[in-house]
Amino acid sequence: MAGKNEYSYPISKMAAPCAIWKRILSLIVIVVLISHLSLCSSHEETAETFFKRGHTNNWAVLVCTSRFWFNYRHVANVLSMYHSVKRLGIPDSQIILMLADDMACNPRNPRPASVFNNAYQHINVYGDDVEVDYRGYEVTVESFIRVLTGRLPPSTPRSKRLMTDDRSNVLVYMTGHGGDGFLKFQDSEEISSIELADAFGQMWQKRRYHEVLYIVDTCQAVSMFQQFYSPNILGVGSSQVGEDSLSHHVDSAIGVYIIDRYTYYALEFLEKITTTSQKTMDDFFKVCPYNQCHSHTGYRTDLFQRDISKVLVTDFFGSVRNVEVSTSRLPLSEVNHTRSKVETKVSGGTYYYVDQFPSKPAENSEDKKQRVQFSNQFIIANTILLAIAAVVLVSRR
Amino acid sequence: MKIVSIISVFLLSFEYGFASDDDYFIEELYMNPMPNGFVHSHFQFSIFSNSNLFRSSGQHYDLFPKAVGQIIESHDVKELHLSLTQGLWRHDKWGYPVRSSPPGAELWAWFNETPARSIDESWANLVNSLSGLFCASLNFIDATNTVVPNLSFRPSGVVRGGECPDQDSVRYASLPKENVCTENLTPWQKLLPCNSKAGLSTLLNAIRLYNAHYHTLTVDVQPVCQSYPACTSTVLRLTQSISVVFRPTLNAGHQQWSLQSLFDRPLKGSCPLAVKSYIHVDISNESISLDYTLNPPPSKVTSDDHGKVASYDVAEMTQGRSSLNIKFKWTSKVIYGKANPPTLHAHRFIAGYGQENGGITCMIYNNDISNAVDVVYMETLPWYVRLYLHTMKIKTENGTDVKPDMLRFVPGRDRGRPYLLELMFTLPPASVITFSIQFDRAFLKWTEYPPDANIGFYLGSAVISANLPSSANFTTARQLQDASLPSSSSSSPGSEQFIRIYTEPLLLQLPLPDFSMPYNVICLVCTVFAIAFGSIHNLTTRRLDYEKKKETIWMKVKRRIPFLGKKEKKDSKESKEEKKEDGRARDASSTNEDATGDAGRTKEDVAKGTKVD
Repeated sequence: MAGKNEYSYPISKMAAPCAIWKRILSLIVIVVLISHLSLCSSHEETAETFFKRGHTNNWAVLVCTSRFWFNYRHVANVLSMYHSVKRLGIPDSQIILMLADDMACNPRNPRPASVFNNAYQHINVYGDDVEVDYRGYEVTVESFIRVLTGRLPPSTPRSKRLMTDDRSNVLVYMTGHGGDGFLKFQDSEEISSIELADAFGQMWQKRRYHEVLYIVDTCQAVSMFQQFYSPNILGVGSSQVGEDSLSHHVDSAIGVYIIDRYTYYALEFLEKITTTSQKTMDDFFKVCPYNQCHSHTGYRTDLFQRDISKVLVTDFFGSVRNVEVSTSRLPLSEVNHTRSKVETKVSGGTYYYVDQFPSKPAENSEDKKQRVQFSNQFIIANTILLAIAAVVLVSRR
Repeated sequence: MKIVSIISVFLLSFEYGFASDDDYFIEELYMNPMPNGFVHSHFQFSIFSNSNLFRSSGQHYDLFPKAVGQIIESHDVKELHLSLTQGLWRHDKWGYPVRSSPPGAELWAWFNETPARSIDESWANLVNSLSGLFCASLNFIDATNTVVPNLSFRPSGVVRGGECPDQDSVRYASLPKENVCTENLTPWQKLLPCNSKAGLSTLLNAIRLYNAHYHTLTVDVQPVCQSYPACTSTVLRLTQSISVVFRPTLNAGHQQWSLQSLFDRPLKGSCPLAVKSYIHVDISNESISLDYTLNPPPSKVTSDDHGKVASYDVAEMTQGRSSLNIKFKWTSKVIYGKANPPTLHAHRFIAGYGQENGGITCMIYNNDISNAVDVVYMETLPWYVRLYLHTMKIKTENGTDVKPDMLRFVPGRDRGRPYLLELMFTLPPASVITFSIQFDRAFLKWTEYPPDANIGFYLGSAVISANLPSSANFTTARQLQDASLPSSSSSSPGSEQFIRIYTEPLLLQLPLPDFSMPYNVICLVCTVFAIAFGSIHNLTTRRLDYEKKKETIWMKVKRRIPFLGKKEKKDSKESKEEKKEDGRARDASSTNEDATGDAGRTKEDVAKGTKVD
């Protein structure tokens, strides 16, 4: 209010001599706007297409946080997502798969090397071509946050790093046992929703993502993304705070529940998606209504800048690359097949194979002394102690 | 002897292969149907790379996989041996494997000395790179489970003449709990020149492989001689092998198997990039009672002192046909009798009871009637199994002590270093030696327990290395391109065969804290303790006592300065007090006042008393 009064003063001062200039300026602005509007229709399309594909690469971080055989369904959930995401084009090098326990080769698995998500159709979601980046005890809260924020030790291999940039769309899928504001990792530790929000905050500050789709399939799932504050994040949870997410069905041959309800219906939806599908995130959020899931799914779009009815599902689940088809020929030069002669000549000498079994020492019982080595600190400390003892004894006399 | 002749035949055939400077690739499958019903299949894929990867960078990788080549170059590795195994090799039932490996993951490597990095640093980086390449949790290998063995793991590749391998350049570690599954097979297969698209690797069906009694996935990289015996230049050899032991079901008492029934995949052809593609079927167990049929007939049959092998050249056999399906059938019914145990085998177990201490006992059997066998026994135990070397006993069946020829003990350090014990001793012929040692169990800090701590802690296998005399009755796949074979022929042709056997891993129960709800328990206990103990202590030990009220300065001042009635009252009180002390009587009103005054004072006194208490 005071500011307005302050600013109104100089304008009123300028009004008198600059009135003509003001009018000319406004006329020019109007002309420009009219011309812009006429061009708008053709520009709008290009603008829209420009903003449609803001990302150039897709990554996925799929996490199963539960251990033990009775949590088979969580591993099946994650592997089903992995299966869909791979089918739609994201390569293994851009997927970080974290499985807290091994179900496929678990001694309790009556079908070794396979994980099923459906008792009737028997699709082996584990498959022949699977690469698990973090497995077993490696799946911890610390390693998960390090993967997201990129703060990994320098010796970490590429397959364990999330090497995203500011044009990457990241799909983060988490499943396991959760509660109001936390998710349990391996029955021994939890990640809180605030920690997760801060991890995404760090990612945003480091420009490690363009857009994130965060899916969580646990009990009280929605509480996990309620604390997010970084822009361009879409969150979907399988149940509201105070509700439980339920599992779908039991496979009597395996003996445990093999899939959760939300993931089962989400997969049904995703199985119909192909790389050219035009289905939007709006349709994806309508997956699993209450009569199917027995829990109310929740989603969060306030941090997201685009309209979700215009965001394609393949923007997150697929790796759609723009391909430019050209009919012109490219001249290729002849490849020189002779390898450059590298210095292979070893400076003389021969090589030999070492005896695999060590030779017995010479039978010399006199030399058999037990060599005991004292450490330097021990010797120094001992000499000091003896010196003090000697001094004390001498002084006492 | 015969072995030298076989090797020389193979090596001569490769003089031609060595003419060009290119990499070459050999794939072989060795099958051993045992009369007790087990079928051992060993796939071996070897890539020989002629380029000198040790020194040059920016190499052109042909058949040799770039992933492995880059790891070797950047971490200055001379030799690398990795195995991922599920199951225990039953020496007493199955003889000796082609490439022995312990249950879980095992990694050992020899490094080149460089001024840029220490060997420990190279080891840590190597372990991380391999864990990313093979999707295994090898990054759990660190200083707490790495040892430097002196006697057991000598370089299996060539060493420059005149140089003695520096014993500090080797590192060994094993993770007994590591499991193998398709996620390890996938990147392993991608290293093969033909991947899983052609050749013998098409038979690698994960669902069948991981449903076997024993399966192992190994990667060995070592430098070998290019031309033998004049070894003037080396070739880097990458050997990838898969060993599986199946037990096909019986069909009306007879046992038969075929490639299709074991692997559920047809073998359509050999890998076009392979120089040699062979399937060898070991038919050494043929006898009148153990008759068999092998269909289709093999390309050639070789026999020597140690066995008879039928070989199939896959490229030849698949030229006319759509697929090659080798069928094997025992004509007589299977009789599960007592199997002949091999010359050397061992059995290790935990002794003792309770959660405070225990012992490890290993029984090593020498079934050779005439020859004594020298054996190196290596034991690596984590720091929380505190070994006592003075309790070590090596005894024969009669109870006589066996004195070790060499003993090396590196004691462990809490959270720093594991315990390493290496012994060399001689097993008399036809004897059983019992090695035993005692240990204490440590109580770990509560954050050091794994999430499923109630299962227990795995202790890695002990390694027993021995040179078996050639007369020892055992068969092994000598037809395969085995890099270690020339070593035995270099020293004394065909006299001894080096083997390495692994014992069982052990499962140890350490004392565990109660992991359920520690926070709640602590809160409850502390609250109960504070309320109950505090109150009871106060009630029982508090004493209430009267105390004379000390005159403060203000009261002295008030006494001396004459003011209003209050002052007089106070004066009168004071005087009354003095009178009381003198023992005089009072008026009723004044006594009332006295009473209230006294009551007030006594209350104050009491209050003071409680404050003091």
